[in-house]
This record gives sequence, C-alpha cells and structure tokens, in this order.
Amino acid sequence: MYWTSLSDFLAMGGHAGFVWPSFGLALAVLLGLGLQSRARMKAAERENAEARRDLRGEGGSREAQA
Amino acid sequence: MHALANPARFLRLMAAIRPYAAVLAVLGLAIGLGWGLLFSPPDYQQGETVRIMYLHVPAAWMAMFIYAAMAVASAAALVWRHPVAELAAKASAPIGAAFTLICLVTGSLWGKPMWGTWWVWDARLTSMLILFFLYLGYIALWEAFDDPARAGRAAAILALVGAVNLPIIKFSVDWWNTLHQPASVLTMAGPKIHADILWPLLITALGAQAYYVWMLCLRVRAEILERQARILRFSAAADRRAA
Amino acid sequence: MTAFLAIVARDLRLGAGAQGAMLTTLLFFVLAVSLFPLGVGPEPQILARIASGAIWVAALLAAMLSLDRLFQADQEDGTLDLLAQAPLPLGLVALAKTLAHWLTTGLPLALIAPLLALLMQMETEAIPVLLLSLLLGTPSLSLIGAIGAALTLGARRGAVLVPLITLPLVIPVLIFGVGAVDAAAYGLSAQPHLLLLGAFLAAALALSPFALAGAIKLALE
Repeated sequence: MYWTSLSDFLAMGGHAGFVWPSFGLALAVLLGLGLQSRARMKAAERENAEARRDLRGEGGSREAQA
Repeated sequence: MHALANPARFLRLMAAIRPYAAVLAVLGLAIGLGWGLLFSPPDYQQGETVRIMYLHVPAAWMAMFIYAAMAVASAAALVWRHPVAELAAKASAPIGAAFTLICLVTGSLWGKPMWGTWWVWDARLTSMLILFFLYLGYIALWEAFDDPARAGRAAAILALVGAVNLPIIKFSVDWWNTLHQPASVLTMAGPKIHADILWPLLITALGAQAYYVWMLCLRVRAEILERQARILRFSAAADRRAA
Repeated sequence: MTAFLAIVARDLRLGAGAQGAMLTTLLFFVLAVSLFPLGVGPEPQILARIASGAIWVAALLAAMLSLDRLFQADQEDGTLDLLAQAPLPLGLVALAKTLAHWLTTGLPLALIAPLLALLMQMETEAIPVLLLSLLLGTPSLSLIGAIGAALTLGARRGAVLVPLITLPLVIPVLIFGVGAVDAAAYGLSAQPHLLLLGAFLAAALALSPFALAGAIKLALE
C-alpha cells in the first residue's frame, strides 16, 4: 500500500478538497442512476402486470362493475 | 440478428446477463478505483490529484463508447426497423450523459489544482462539453413527441447525424485548441502510462463497461415492459368499448 | 433543375413570410452585435479582439431564428405532402427550400457583416475574409439547421429544440469561420480555415439531403 497512515490517506497530500469530491460525485452519479434505473424497471414491471390483469378482466374494480 | 428482434427472447437474454454484469461492475469499479486510491503512486508533478484520473479517463472512454453504441443501435433501428435497437439507443443516452457529466466535473476538479481555474477550455474537456449537449439534445428529442414511434425514428436520425459530425467536431476543437496555444503543455492523461497506472485504469474501465451493460439491461427491460403495458391497456380499453 | 428552381422561387415569393423573416433576422443580428460594446465597454482593442467571435456568434444565432418555420407552413397546409410525391426527389426539394432560407437569412447577414465589423473596430484586412467566411459558413448553418427543423416538425416546443439540436453540430463552422477572420487580422493566411469551411459545406451538401428526406418522410407518416 502506498499510504502509511489513515490521516495521510484522507488528506491526499493537501488535495483532499479535489480528490474526495471527485470520487464522491462519481459514486453519487453512478449510484443515483442505478437506483433510478432500478426503480423505473420495478414500476414498469408493476404496470405491466396490472395491464395484463386489466386485459384478462381480473382487475378488482372491473369485477365489481361487471 | 433477427432472433433478437423478439422482445420476449431479448428480455430473457438480458435477465440472464444482468447478474453477471452487476457483479463484474461492482468488482471492476471497486478493485480498479481501490487500487488507484490505495496502491498506485502519485505523480511527481501533480501529486495526489492524479488519482482523479482513474475516474476521469474511464468516464471519458465510456462517454464516447456509449455514443458510438447509440449510433450503431440507431442505424440498426432505421435499417432493420429493429424495435429493441431503438430502445437500446434510448436507454443508453442517460447512461452516456451520466458518464459525460462525471468526466466534466472530475476534469474540472482535476484541473483546478493544476491550472488554478475551475474550468479549462482544453480540447478534450471542450469536446466532452459538446458531447454532453449532443446527449441532452437526443434525450430532449425523445421527450418532444407524443408518438413514441415517431420520437424513436427522429432520435435515430439525430444520433446518426451527430455520429457523423462527432469526428469533425473533435478535429475542429483540436484545431481550435492548437490555434490558441495553451500556456501549459500538461495533458489531462498524464505524462506517461506506467504499468502501476495502467492496470487500475483498465480494471476501472472494465467495471464501467460492465456497469453500462447492467444499466442497459435494467433500462431496456423497463422500456420494453412499458411499451407492452401501453399496448395491453389499449387492447383492454378497446375490448371494453366493444363489449 | 427547373423544378428545383421553381421551389426556390416559390419559397422566396411567399411574400410577408420570407421578407418578414429576413428583416427579423437582420435586426436581431445588428442588435446582438451592438450589445457587445455595451456589455464589454467601448475600448477599441478589446472590441477588435472579440469582433470576429461576436459577429460570428450573433450570425449563428440569427440564422437559427427562422429555422423552425422552414417546413412548418408547408406541412400545415398539405403542400409538403404534395412535394413529397412530386417527381423531384424529396432530398432535392428540401435542399431547394434550404437554399431559399439561406438567401433570406445567411446571405443578407454576410452582406451586412462588414458594416458591423467596422462598428467592432475589426482590422480592415480581416473584413473581406469575414464576408467570405460568412458566405461559406452560413449555408452550412442553413443545412444543418434544416435537418433540425425537419426532425422537430410537429414536436412540442420545437422552436427551442431546434437550436439545442443544431448548435452543437455547427460548432466546427464557428471555429473555422472565426479562425479565418482572426488569421487575416493577424496578417496570416486565412486559406486553410476557408478551405475547411468549404469542405464542411461540401460534406453537408452531399449528406444532408439523405437526413432531410428521412426526417420529412417521418413527419409525413
């Protein structure tokens, strides 16, 4: 390992203010995109399942009307 | 090629690939960035800020690769009317834009200690900024039409026009940059590629590539299911009206 | 050929539309350039330094102004459908309309630019090159802009979308155009820059008819 102490690692030779925000932002963007993509997929799966039920006429409200 | 045109097959293929892509992405990014942060040496001129390169360079590679992938998918969509190709292009754009954004911001943070300003109009960053606008324009075009089929074809044409133009834009920006000679000759990629630097770079790039595939699987699945749902809802409503 | 020219003539003739657009474009151009001294101060050296860029950027923006209406009127009244079925290939039809657009925007802009260059304290040796660069560059703007206009026919907020799509694609024109003028201002040869402008125009002329035809057909489906 290049670093000898944790404080050295965190200080990044005085450039901590540039290095850590860079890594922070990159991970935040990747994580954010990942979460949004996953959320959208889950929503699409739900909507798809409901639409299938709708087509088969199994929707609860529809049965009540029929 | 046409075996993939059937959405159900494509959905199964992506569901199979997805977990492997996810594992490869997490491992690649963790190992590559970890190596870069913990084990690689600092630069004798730039000091520790050179570690930002492990974010900036793979992000730049992905930004360009994804645009190329978008262009290929768009061409497939136009030539073969391949429905999933169109959706793959659409799904790629936000991922490409995200990597471009990372490239721009890390480039700015990397440049500030080196050049003393928050933004530098060097050829690479300027080209990346233009690429970012191209991504945004493409995404905006998709959102501008109510008819998704129309939006998809228009966006595909735009992606191809952009792809043809991109090398010209890159050339013109390089040209412009040499005309207005910058004071420092330091390039963003660093003076040389040493093995200690190359390996974490490549591993991170591999992880980023796997991340793209992973996200693509998620997003294309969402697009396909959303389209199917719309069609199903439409049929259900038509049935109800007929009854 | 006569069919091509007939379309150009028709678009030019479409009276109030075309002439009004030309006036608006020129007015915007003059106003936009005039804002620069007001913004950066009247010092001659500074104005001379930014003159090429300011005039070119203003020309770029002014040329974009009337683009979204390029195909819209014809689409709305059904003329575009008829033109699509005409014996003249759709790509050439689109080129004809784009030529008419350039004649009412890019060309007048280029002709008026030397006057504005004087306002901006540009070196006199550079002014003919400014004219030439604009004459070579603005057709490319019209061509790429036409693609943007065709793609966004009938889209929501099409007027905003056209510059967003088009401006990144015409950045090479801006760079080569300003490069030519600056070279002349510093006493160097503007030829390489002008040749690049010409090459871009040649490529645009060769390739844009395909994109234009595809985009218009898409809009008419």
